[in-house]
Amino acid sequence: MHMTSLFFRRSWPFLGLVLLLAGCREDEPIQLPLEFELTWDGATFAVGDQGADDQGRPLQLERLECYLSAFALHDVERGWMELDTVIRVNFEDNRPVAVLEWAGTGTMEIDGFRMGLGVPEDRNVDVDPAQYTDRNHPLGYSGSAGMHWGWAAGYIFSVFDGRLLTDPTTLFSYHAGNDKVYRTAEWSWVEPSVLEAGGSISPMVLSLDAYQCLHGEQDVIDPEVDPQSHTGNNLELALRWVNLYAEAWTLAP
Amino acid sequence: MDIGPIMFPKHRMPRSRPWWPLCLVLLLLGGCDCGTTLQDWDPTPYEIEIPPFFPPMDIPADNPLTVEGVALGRLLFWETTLSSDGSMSCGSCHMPEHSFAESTPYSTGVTGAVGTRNAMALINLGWSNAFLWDGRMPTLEDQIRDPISHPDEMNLPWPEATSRLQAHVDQPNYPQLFWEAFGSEEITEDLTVQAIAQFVRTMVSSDSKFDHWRRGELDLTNNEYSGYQIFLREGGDPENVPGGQFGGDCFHCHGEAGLQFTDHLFHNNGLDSVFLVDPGHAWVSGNPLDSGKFRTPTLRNVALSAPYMHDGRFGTLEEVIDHYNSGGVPSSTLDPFMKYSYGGLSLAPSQKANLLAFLHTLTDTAFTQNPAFQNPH
Repeated sequence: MHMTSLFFRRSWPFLGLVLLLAGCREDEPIQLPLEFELTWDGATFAVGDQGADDQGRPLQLERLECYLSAFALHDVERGWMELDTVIRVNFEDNRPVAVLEWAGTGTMEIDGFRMGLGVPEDRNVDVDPAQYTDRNHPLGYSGSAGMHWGWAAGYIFSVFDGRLLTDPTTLFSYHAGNDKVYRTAEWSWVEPSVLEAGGSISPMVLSLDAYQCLHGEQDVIDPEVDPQSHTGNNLELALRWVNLYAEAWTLAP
Repeated sequence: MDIGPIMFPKHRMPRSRPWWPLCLVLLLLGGCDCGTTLQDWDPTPYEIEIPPFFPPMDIPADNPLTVEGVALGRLLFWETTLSSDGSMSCGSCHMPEHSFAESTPYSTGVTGAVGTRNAMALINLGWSNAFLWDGRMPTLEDQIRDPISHPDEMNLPWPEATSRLQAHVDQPNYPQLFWEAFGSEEITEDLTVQAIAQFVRTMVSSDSKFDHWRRGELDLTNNEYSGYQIFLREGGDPENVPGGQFGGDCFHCHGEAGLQFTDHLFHNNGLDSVFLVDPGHAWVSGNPLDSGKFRTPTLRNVALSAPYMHDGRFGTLEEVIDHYNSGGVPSSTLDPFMKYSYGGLSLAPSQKANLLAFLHTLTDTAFTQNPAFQNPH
């Protein structure tokens, strides 16, 4: 009896710690690493590389950047678990990465993922990047450099610039950015995956095929015929481009 | 954060210790003539005012602004002792009347050597994240470090520069001023650079006519407002240029975000077809796709900061507008925003005049004439 009570007296701090540790795993956020890869018609590609278009013309991609937002994981029991986060992806970086955090959800059993292609309306329209106290925030003054139209116009959701290396060369520039060109990409799968709070998760690989950004099943954009849209000046082309761009994303199995 | 008074738990109360060593130290300090101690150093924080619609300024944690540091930086900015022959200061190439730039295409150093690029205007640099035309300097402090020792500029090796300042004890007494600014009478290269950077961060322009219009304090003229609309519209005649809006297409690179009129990025704006003389940002990045690309300068005070472009090739704003109107010359890295392949922007003479009128609304003489920025010597 004496020994037992001594054991408990001496060991309760340790037991308390074990209980705390066991409990706090559920309080830890679910961290989901994202990794982005670029392809050209399925083959590994990089900004600066040349690929052939559907007519065999050499095409050089020179800039590919985008905003992604409104991420959500679909939990089998609880439905869509949304995250109010915006990230900027620059494909000039070699396989850019980002880490998303879902806090306070505990373990999730997921069978779906979705993301917004662009900046949601409430964070876009009439938002001045200078308002962000952290100027390096993706939507802040420095963080959005080159991805904002002006103080009252909104963000550029995606930029796809390059040239056809024909003679003479044809520059192309597709800049999509207003609420009409906001799109959502969504994937679901049959066998749910378990994401444990505080656990280690291998990156989810999101792949963007630059070839498919111009060549889709329903539409093909020929840069020689339709070389430029900055959305406001050529909404029709911007809509065609974002529809191809939205279809060009895949989630690696 | 107010953490309240510091209380010691009883079992951790500091023990009483012998007091005589402390008295001895105090006596020794009192007896020696070693000046003030670090405990006496109490610089005054410099509260920089962020103008309306401007973004927050990132000030390095290791170089906070102080009244003493800014004052010292101003003296150093204008200090000719920091050139090998005592003839030049930073202000020699960054003159207030030219928006702290220079009126010649290239600067001439103390040895007579001529530089290869136009001196950039020093204006609102507290919001920059890359410095010099090719962006090779990542911080303001790095950028300031270079010209003093550069053989083609002020040509004074840093050890000599700091020795001169250390010996300069009369009008001004630099060791004393460094003590007041940094708590050390030992003058170093780093502290000299930090002081000048503090001063340069206070050089904020926000009093142009456009700023006042943006704040709703006055109106632009019809011509100025028309020019502003040209600035904001897509370039080109829609008959020739897909998506053209008869605009100047200026806003893509000289964006208004934060009212700084620059995207802080690097572009090839069609000045040359080859880049053998000056590869621009490619020299820094090593990426051939960056050949011929240079940092977008701010348009603030652009009417005062002639000549234009990285090599000062254009003497007037009219020439600059004509260049963009022409679409530039083709090259392997020409920016897609340039309208070379469509024959340029097709701006009519009246549109060019209005665009020019708008650019003049960005002139801020309250900034260039601000007594706080002038030569104090």
